[in-house]
Amino acid sequence: MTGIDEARDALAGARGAQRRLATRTRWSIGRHLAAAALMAVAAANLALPPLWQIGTAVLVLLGVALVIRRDRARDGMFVNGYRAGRTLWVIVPTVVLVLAIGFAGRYLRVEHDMVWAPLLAAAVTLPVALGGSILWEYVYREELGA
Amino acid sequence: MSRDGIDPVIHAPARLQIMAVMANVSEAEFALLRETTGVSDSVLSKHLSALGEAGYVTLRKAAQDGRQRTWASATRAGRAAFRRHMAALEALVAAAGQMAAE
Repeated sequence: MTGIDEARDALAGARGAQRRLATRTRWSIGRHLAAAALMAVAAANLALPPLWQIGTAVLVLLGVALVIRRDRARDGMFVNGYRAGRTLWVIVPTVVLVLAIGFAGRYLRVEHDMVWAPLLAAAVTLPVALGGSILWEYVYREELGA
Repeated sequence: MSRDGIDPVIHAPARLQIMAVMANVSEAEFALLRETTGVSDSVLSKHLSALGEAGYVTLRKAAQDGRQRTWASATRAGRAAFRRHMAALEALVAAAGQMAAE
């Protein structure tokens, strides 16, 4: 291909397809809440005693599988949150923050005998992860040219 | 792959559009690809087969709601080829714009 017009048309076609994908990509607040709840359980998991960790880890894995299944059935697609692109600028800080909250919960439980620290970690994580999930969708749609 | 990043496999407009969608999702169902690219079932099948043969997408069949559905996902090679192809197109258009401005 050497024609400039052909190159312009090809770019316009590809971007048009991405815009159509962006237009139909809208996750409900319930879907964002589900993702945030899984992160909250993951943060609590870090702060829980070892025996509890097995149960919550299974819960998180089961939840992730259900979310993927729901996305495929409802949207006809699945998008990995860790995909390459500008969304990494949202997911990486979110995960770092969630890990920090989880480890802070662990510190409070172990060093200060705060037995409810895992619950506190989950409660703090929920709004952080919810905000991260909503921002992720915004950045994703922007990247696709919505 | 040809020189300068232009890839003959995804040169066709419909294939480029399919790859544009596939590069931004982990997995997409046949109906979603048809909807976002605006091509017919038969044309989409043909292009997906060609992309599959080139190793740019993988296809799988899965039953859902009692119906057999086709799911496609871009391979690492497919995503890289798409990025190179888009970069080459953008460079071509930018160079043309620069020449016109001078």
